[in-house]
Amino acid sequence: MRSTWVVFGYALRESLRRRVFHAGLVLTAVFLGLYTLGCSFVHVPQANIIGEKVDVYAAAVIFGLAVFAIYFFGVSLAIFLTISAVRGDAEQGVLQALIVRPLARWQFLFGRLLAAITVAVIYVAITFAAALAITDVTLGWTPHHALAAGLEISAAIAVVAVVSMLSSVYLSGVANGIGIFMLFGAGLFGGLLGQIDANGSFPKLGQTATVIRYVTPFEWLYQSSLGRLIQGENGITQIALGLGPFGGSVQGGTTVWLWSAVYVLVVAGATVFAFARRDL
Amino acid sequence: MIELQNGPAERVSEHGSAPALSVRGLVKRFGKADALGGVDIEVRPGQLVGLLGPNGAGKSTLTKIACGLVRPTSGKVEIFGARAGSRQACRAIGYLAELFRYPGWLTADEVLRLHQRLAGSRGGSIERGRLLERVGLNAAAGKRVGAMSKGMQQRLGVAQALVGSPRLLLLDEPTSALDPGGRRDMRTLLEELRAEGVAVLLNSHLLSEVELVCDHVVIVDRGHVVEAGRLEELARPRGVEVELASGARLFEGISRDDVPELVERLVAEGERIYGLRVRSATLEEVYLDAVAEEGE
Repeated sequence: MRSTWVVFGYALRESLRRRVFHAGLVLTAVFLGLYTLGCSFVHVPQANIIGEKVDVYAAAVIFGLAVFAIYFFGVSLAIFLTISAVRGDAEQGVLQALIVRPLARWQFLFGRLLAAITVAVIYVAITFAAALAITDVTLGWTPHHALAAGLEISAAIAVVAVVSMLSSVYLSGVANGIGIFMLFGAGLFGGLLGQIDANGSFPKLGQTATVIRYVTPFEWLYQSSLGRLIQGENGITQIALGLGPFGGSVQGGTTVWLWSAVYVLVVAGATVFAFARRDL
Repeated sequence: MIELQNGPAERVSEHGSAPALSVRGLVKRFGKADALGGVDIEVRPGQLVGLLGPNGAGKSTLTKIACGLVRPTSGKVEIFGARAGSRQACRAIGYLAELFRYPGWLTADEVLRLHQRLAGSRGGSIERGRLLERVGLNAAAGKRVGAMSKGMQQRLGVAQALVGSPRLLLLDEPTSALDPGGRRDMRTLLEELRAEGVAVLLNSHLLSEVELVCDHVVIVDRGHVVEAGRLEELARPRGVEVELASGARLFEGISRDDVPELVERLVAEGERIYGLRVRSATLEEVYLDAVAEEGE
């Protein structure tokens, strides 16, 4: 395992030195600034409307939008940190000198993947926590299950990194980036289909959305994360938040975690197998 | 199998009897294209072998298979008796790829440190300093790769390949970015390594470099070994060149043993001899002949 940690340390430093990471930090700072500004401009009437908590509704919707933005940023970062991990780096001549050293290829992959996940997940966790704090300070609302929601968003990012690592074995950097973003888009599309069938009026769309959730468990985790935000709410607020921004919410429960774990193991296994057979 | 005979430095026999590199019946296909069609080579410790061939001959593929970067379709490749690509084999080799790049943000010292850790070398800063000095980069230890010239990066690549004191060095075009001074330094370094008993497989297009430094040559064309052996064995006699009053004249088919008779005959015919040289084929001629024969 020693070699894995050497690769991890190297990949971690490389990740943190990438320009895309620095640009992402700047954009995130801009986003959080604008989010603070937006939250402070939201007019929150204190009076209840037909017995519903309008202030919670407003706060949860705007926070839901922030969660989508954080999800998108995290996915982008995970993709950029892994798109060139194998074929892209091999084409540039970065990989060969490392691979001929006495370490197994799976150790190299694991070290790189771990570094990418560490950076992306820490980034998402910090941004999520910052958005949560801003929402609480400006709008006076914190979801009951914020930690669970944050964990699921972080897990979604890790799943994207694993998938991107697999396709990096076959595709060069740009092609891989485009492919993973398309998969991400497919997940969102599935979420929207599920949203249309929110009340069960379009069962075919609902079935399609379910299939897409299984194919793209990162989207499922994102939807489950949104679902966590409305746990403990009720009435119109729950229904409105249940529709959610960009894909609706579901109560994933333990199923989404179990499926994601199986999915990651299968994809990781396929990556190791593919990389072991890849000519460099 | 083409087995290369021992070179002068092979008296250093500390590595036992296993060949540094043993390639037997090596076949590699990329789809329907045959990159290597049954190659047999053996390189012994202390041998400096030049691997020559035109573009697409299969030289880099052969080198990469020896490193474990490319999987053979069939055949056997061993490094000191261990399967190529295995950890044991990887511990014994140093490799410099034709196309390589180190992250621009790493310094020369950091590149070597990273490879020391991956190679399990315990040489520490002493080894790093020694290697940088060996390739003429001792003043650039703290310099970032991104700020280095191509030549400096190539020198760093050679230093990286030497991390952990490999017993077999696989160099793919190691002098392509070096200036004449750098090439001379590289020749000196390779000669030192040979004297230390290190086996070197030098993949190069520069015949003059190979001729100057290698004691064995393997010429590959279209995936097959078309010529191999010691340089002096390959350099077939081309005749005797005699400088006469009328100019230089080449007497083909005549060897060194025939020179006295030739001189007697020419003098008897009234010629005045100003100089005489027994000619043998240059490596370039050997190479071109071998490649041309294969192409016919």
